[in-house]
Amino acid sequence: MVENRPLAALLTHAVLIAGILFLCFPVWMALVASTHGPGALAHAPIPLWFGDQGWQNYRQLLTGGLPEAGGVPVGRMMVNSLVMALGITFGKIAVSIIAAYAIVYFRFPLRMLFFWVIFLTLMLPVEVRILPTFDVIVRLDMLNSYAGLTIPLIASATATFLFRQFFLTIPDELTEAARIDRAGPLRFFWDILLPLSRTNIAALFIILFIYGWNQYLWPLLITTDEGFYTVVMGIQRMVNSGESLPVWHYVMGTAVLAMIPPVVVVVAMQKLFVKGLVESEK
Amino acid sequence: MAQLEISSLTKTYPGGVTAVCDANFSIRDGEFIVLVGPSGCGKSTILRMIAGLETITGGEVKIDGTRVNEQEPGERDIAMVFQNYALYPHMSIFDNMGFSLKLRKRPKTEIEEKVLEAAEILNLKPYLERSPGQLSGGQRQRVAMGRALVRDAQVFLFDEPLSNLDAKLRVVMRTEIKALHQRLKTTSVYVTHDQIEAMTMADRIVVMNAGRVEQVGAPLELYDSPANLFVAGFLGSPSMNFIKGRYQREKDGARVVCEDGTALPVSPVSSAWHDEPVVLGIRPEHLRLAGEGEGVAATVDVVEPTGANIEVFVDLAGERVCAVFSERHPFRPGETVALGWDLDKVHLFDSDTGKRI
Repeated sequence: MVENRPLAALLTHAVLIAGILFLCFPVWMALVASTHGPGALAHAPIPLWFGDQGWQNYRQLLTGGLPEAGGVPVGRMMVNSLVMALGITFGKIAVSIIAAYAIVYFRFPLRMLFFWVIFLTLMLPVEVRILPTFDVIVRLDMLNSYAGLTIPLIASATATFLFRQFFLTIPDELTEAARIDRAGPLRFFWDILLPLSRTNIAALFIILFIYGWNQYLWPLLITTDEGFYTVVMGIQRMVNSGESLPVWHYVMGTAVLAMIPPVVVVVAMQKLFVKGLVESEK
Repeated sequence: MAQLEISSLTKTYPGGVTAVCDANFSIRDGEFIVLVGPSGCGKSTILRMIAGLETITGGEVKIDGTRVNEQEPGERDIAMVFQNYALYPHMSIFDNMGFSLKLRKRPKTEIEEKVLEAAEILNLKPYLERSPGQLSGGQRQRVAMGRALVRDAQVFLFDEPLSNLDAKLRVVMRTEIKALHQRLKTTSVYVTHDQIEAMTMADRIVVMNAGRVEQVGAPLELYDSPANLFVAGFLGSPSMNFIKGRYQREKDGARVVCEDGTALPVSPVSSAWHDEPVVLGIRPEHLRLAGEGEGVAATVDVVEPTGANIEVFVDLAGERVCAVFSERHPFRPGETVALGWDLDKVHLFDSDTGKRI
């Protein structure tokens, strides 16, 4: 719309600003609350401006550990989360791009069957297969390990499917030119397919990193050792810390810390991400 | 450089469709051969079988006497230029052209030398650091050729390389490719559906139709004595006029009598022939205005001046016939004119088999 109507413009802006405030308020509350002492949040009115306890709260969280969360420092949990999220992300991308390469570019018996089997698993989210998977992990003795945290979540039908669709848009002539240039399958994959998939990989990286970072149910099931707790679990543990009152200032501080890595990833890869979603390869 | 031998080459797809049937021709060392035909005639399939991109289901392809049916495209020492260029979009022009040499593990200095040399020939030097997306269609086409050049391949294959360019650029690139071939003398096979490209560029033309080779020969040879109706109608623009009639032998010559009784003079062929159905073919530029009392009457239908020529469509014995004049006659639609021709410019074809008589 290129009309210039001041009233409409005012209204649009009012709605947008209200929306932004509404979305940002909880984040603001978390930030504010994480800088107060334990008492300030227990009764009304809840403070809306920063307190003076921020420094101590964060230092305690990152290094000291809390008895409410099993005594593990949040710093440790964040490392666990990071290992898990990155493991899942890289694993998923690596496995699915290779699977898609095989399905699109090679003729082997039962090729379509394999594709459909992979495709069918799209219908089974983690929660559906969680008990059998848990059983497998127990038998493999992978409880309380990074391998147990990441490997079961690595297979990804969605990513395989996305890569397949992208590969199908790459013109056949490109493959043929590469064959005439004497590029073998590995060369073609490494020198041509992988660089061409750059934006797709970036988009997937963001989506999968956040997916991995936010995993809750699976780490809750397979970790009993506090040393392997992830930060999302940590928050939950702090809230349900038995009979005592929830330590809201620590909970909010942990929440703020847990927000940082996904934000960093999104901001850092934003350009590629948008390109990957928008761009249709020519 | 090499010679190429295509013998009883056949391609049948698993579904039973035959794209190419029993194609035979050979290409001499340094020759520029053009495969031409309407779309779907199998010309690209032959090219792709020479390249190794399509499996051969019958017959064989020999490069320099060696059977290459079973070789991978990379082993055949051929270079190919594709219709949509097929440049690697993420690589610079330099890397695009040097990629094949890099894969052949040539030293860096040699690659650089070769690429610069090819870039020099093709006027691509200022663009070596750009990516393909930043170039125009003609430049991309040149890069695609450069990619073939750096290889010093034995055979160049061109798959309709000019089809994606606009008309003007196509003419420019046509001349460039021909000049390049005259300079390098690399054996080349060029596929196109454009008969003008075929006529202007080829040393010899292979005319194809419906998976079969119709005729092989030098451009003017095909133009002057086409082997059948298809070749006659395909080569030349505007294309040859065909008039159906019956061949009649007379004591002082011969003529073709049309259904409406119009008699068209032709030169006599073998004496055994009389009263046979034939197709008379005459090229538009061989029709001329006849003098008083001669020629065949025709009614002017449409006049199309092109600047250099005037194309006139006339009604001759119930058929629409095109005539081209380089003189500027003031034709008016509806006017009756008398058309004549030299008897040796007339082609006669058997109307059942389409073969030249």
